[in-house]
Amino acid sequence: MNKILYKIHAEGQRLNLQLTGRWRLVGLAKIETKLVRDVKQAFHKFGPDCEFYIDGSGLDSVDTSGVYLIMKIQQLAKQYFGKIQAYQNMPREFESLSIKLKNFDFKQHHIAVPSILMQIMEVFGNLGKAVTGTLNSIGEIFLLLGMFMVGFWDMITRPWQFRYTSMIHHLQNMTIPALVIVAAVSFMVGAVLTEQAAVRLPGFGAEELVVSFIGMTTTRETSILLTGMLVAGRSSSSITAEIGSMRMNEEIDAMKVIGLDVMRFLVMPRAMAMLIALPILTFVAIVAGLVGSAVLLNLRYGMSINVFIERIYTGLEISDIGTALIKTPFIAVALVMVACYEGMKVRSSASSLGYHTTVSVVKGLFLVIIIDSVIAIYFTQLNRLG
Amino acid sequence: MMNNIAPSKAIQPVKIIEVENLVSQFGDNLVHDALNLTILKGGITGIVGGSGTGKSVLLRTMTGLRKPDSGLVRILGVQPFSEHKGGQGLARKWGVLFQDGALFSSLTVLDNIMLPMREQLNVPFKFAQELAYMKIFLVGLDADVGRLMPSELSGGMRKRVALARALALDPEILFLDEPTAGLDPIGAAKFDDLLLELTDALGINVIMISHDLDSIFKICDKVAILAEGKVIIHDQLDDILAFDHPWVQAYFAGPRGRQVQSQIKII
Ligand SMILES: Nc1ncnc2c1ncn2[C@@H]1O[C@H](COP(=O)(O)OP(=O)(O)OP(=O)(O)O)[C@@H](O)[C@H]1O
Ligand SMILES: [Mg+2]
Repeated sequence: MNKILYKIHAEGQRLNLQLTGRWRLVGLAKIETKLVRDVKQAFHKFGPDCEFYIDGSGLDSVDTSGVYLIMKIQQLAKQYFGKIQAYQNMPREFESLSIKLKNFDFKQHHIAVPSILMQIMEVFGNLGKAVTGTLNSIGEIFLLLGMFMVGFWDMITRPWQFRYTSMIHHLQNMTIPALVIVAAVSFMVGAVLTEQAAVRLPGFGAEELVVSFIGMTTTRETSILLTGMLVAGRSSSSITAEIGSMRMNEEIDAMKVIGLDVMRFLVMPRAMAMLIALPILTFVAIVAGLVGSAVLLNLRYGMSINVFIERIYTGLEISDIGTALIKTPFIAVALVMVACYEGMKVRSSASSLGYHTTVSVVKGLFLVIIIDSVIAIYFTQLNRLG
Repeated sequence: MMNNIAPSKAIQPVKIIEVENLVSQFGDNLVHDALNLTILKGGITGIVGGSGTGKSVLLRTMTGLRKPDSGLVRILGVQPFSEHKGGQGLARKWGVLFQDGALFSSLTVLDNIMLPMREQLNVPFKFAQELAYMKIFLVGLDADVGRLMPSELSGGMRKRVALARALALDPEILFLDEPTAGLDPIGAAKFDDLLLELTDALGINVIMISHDLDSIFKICDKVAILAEGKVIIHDQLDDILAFDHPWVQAYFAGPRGRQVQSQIKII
């Protein structure tokens, strides 16, 4: 039920705004618009010659929003009648609070909503920003590579200052919880690819051709791609979030002031951990992918495990595994450097933490694919020439 | 609404906060050991105690953010912890100023102040915005501050904005955790004046944790002192100054305390 909080009535040339009840935010929120409208209507109806009074004798209580609203009406009256109008019988709270609001500028309180045109222009602006942003981030990659080399040089020239415990800690976090998921995903993709190939290659004995083909795909491509993507999702995001929240907490600033090298303390241990973790995970992915393939051929096409192993021996070369592993250091460095850099860009707001974490993962995924393709093309061309 | 002025209620002082035999524990660390505290309606109550005596924990318990390990807490007759799960009655009746402000970092200052009004009371956007500007003015900030993000504020400004947000719904009880810490002396004195005026004008009950002797002497009507996991004394300042306890004496009669006392006497 809406309680009645005001009455407007006129006696001759005298316009009265009678306030009643509890003038508190709870009730006022519902009637504010109507009240202002009613008051304006009354002003127009009675014309500028009448006298306007606000009578507070019926007020039970008033809070700051009540005081504000009363004073706002008073301002309206002042604009309309051109002179200050009187209050009557106002409660004590009103007196003391209205003194505090005496110098408040009642006209300033609107933030303009941008026009449609402006909003459309803004879309184009954002598009432009996105383009330049992409160009910038390509340049960034070289900057980060440079930073990593400096950090790496620092590490090998002063190995006693390297943070081994920190690296071990990160290495654990990057490998142990990731092993199962990497193996499981790789196992399933290995099995599915084998099935797809086996179904499409017709005729007797075709499964045996499948082995070397799938073996090679798994080793050279899917293993590293899957591992890279999973690591970009797991570790890049956590590195960015970690460093980002340290920034928000001013921990990074504290480090700098104490004279600690951020590169040495935060970045290098993570980079080295990733440099070790990624080959391990990739190797696990290769093995799991081949196992998936073997299990599927065994169950669906009755190929014995021994035959499978034999096929793999003849069909695969050690350089296939090498091709996969040679990609890992590049991907590892790219992921860690991008993740740390995005973390450092976090400003002190929760949304910027979320934003940069997302960007870190997206850039990470992108880089995994780019690096993988570039190196793959390089090696295939090399094989053809040689 | 005739029963509002029933004589029995008018005479009996209203208990706004009751804490009975509160125990708070973190592992082996017994922070509160059967703590009792009753705060009556009206005025500003200071909560004082050494670092780590559990003032912030007490505040968290009173605002229902922490479940008492044992004992009972009632705010305006309701238990705050169960309150957070059920209705939201208390959220409209109290305002809390956290030690570090705890402004929402993704919202502008104006949106921070408007949020409780919009969400709790469905105040229309425009009116809420006007009121938010009024609160910004009340806590002594420029209107331009409204557009800034919390990360763009100085420490003192952040405190004021946090106060404005705590005052957004004109609460009955205002909890403050070290409101003047980090403010310059003039700013702190203004903050004290502001609190005095607001409590005076609006009848807000203030519960204030503070280490700031100036503020305690200037604005607190009563002070509760936490030590050894209990409230060792809860009384007017004169009686506390006369209280014979080593920590209390060291705190109020130490060089800083004496200085403030002498200034107060001169005034
Ligand atoms: N989340 C928590 N987990 C474990 N222990 C805690 C936690 N919060 C507080 N404590 C412990 O409770 C005790 C009281 O802490 P509290 O923050 O209430 O102190 P305080 O009186 O507010 O001190 P200060 O004046 O320095 O702010 C401390 O010993 C602290 O270690
Ligand atoms: Mg504290």
